[in-house]
Amino acid sequence: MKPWNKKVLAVLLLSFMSCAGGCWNYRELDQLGIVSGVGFDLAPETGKILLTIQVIKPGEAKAGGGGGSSGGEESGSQTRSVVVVESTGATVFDAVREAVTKFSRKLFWPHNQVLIIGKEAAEQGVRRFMDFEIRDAEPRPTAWVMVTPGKAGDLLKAPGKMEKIPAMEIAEMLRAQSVTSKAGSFMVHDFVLRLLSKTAAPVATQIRLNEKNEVQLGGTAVFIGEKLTGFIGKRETRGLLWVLGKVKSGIVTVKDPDNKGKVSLEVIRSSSKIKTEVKGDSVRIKVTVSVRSNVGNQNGELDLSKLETLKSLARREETAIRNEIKAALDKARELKADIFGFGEAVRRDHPKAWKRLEPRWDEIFTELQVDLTVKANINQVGLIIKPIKP
Amino acid sequence: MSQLERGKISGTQMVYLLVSFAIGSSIIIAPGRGAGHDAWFATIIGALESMVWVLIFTTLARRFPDQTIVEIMEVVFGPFLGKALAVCFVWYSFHLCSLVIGNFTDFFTTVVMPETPCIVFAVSLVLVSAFAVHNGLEVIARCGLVLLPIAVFLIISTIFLELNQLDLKNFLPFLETPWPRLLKTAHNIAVFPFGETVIFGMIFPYLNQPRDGRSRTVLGILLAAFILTLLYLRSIGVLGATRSIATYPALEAVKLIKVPFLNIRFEIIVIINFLTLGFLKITTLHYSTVLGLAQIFKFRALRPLIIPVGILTVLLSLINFQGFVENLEFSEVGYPVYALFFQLVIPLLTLIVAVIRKLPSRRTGC
Repeated sequence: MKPWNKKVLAVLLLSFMSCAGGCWNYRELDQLGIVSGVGFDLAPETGKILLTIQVIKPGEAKAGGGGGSSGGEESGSQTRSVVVVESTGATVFDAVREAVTKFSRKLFWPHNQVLIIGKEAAEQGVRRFMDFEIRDAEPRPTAWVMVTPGKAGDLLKAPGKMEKIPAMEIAEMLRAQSVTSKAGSFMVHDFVLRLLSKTAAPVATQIRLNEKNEVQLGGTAVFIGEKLTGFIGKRETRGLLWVLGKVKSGIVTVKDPDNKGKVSLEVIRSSSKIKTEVKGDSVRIKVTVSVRSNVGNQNGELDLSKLETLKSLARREETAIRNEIKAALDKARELKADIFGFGEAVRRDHPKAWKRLEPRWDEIFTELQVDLTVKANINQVGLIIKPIKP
Repeated sequence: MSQLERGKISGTQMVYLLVSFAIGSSIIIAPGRGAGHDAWFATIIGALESMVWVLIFTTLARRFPDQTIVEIMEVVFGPFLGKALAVCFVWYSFHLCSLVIGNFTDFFTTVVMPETPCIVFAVSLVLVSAFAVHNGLEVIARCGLVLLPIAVFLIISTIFLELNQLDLKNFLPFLETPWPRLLKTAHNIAVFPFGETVIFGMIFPYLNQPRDGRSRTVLGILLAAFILTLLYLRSIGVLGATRSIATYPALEAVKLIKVPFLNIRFEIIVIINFLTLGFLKITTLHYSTVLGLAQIFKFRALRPLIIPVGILTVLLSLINFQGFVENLEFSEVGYPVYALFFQLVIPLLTLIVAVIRKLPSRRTGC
């Protein structure tokens, strides 16, 4: 290398060092308030947003994390590992920055797990909350969206049971819901996708505090446009998830053919297919749901070694699932909300007819003809074939 | 033949450089915004459309295998008019360079470091590219050999990581976009990024086999179109309708990657790709600006021009646009017309005049 080149290289490297020393707005961990959960409510003052932010206290959350915890300090440590900050503002961002007046650290969003919207705030529209969530560079589109019939703030203040950080516990609970599929999990991204659709109704997980002041998941909040219109129960939620093909697992309990007891079938996997047919102005939707399941438990005396019994159980399972879907369908019609995204399915299959149908989709949806086909297969019966009976 | 650049690059190296050049900034800017979920199709049409003017400027280059497009203009139009047109062409290269740097600074100030002043990113990029230009064409081409495979590997790995998020329904209904809008978007894609390869008119004479220029350019554009289409298929499949509201769709798509049990963020992959390929684009443009200026003003070496051109590029990038929105409007309304002048009109005019004047005559061709 020529000596001149070496000089250039040295100058370049030195000048890069001056840049690499730090960024303009660098922040160290001890200056960050890591947000684990956020709640949106309406502030008492009209037109303002009340933000409840759960912030992790890194030191506390780590201490005593491993090893045997002594029973005495348990409840104390859970409340101490997070701080709940409330602030109000005209927009979310305004409120986020306003939080600094009560809180020493700058809020750090990428680790936010859950986003809870209070009923009143949701009824007035959620676009303003979602805008912050996806416009700002820090929050992630993979956070979970939930709606509570009460105040979002109360849920974030409730202490966790297992985890040090209550919001993480909520996220874990939501992940665990796939074993019952009675609460769907919807990311900010899924939610925004529905908000961008002209006909599909956005949905979010329902979360609430029960009588014992415990956090409980189950059911679904249904929106029309950006406004909350109502909630559907656990049964209808699973009906919805069957159609969306989102049931990963779950227990379907059916009466056994002898009418002596009940059999619980564990769903292993399911899939769904939506087909549409447009003739003039009448729209026909064909939903096919295929389910594979295993026998999990029975409290009757059914002899499961016979193929016929399994088949009749499968038929009963199909009916049970069909009823769940019907319940969801009825509820959706009652709310006039296309939670299944049937409109989008028609748009995909019949783009030309869709232009004509779209303006009247609200009416069409309520009197839509939906053909349900459920195909259930029972594969395994567990570790015993015969009932425990002499 | 000028002695400004003694290096020679192989046809393969040029293909690598050209692919990096073509996907360098479009990897993040997503020019097919107007076509919604048909953007991938618009990319294919756009690549085919750009073939038309690729044929024109490569035909020109084949007539003058030993001269860069700037020198060709001087030969064809004579010293006065030729120099004027050459200055226009060099301006395009210079302006384009500042636009790409502007894309960078927008991206970094939006996504990575919102409070850092733009000039920091611009200066550090131009310093690196100045160093590469100083080392000559061979070094730039070899950078392409190293960086492009890395970027392609990263692109493909993100596609694999997102296969479970991919929803094929997002592509339906096929061709929902009305044809006029689709063609307009396709044209936007043809001028940015594919048509910008006209800059390689400055590089053809330094190929081992200058006559390979055309086939290599076509191959490079096809490969770049393939990679871009893949990228679009990925971001449309993953993002669906949210793609149309995102500032940087590729970034949003990668944000959705979830690897079980690992809390890894993959945005850095997009940033790495943008940095490496964008660096090659900036360097190529910086190089062609410097070379063009040196040839117009008969410099004996490139070196005295490198830093001044770099400084001017940084300054222009700072005053070009106020922010992303202004840039977007320019790239959708102004640029498709503006760029056509340099990508199509100038080469076509030069070619026509060259044919009429029966150039190159035996004497000027070597």
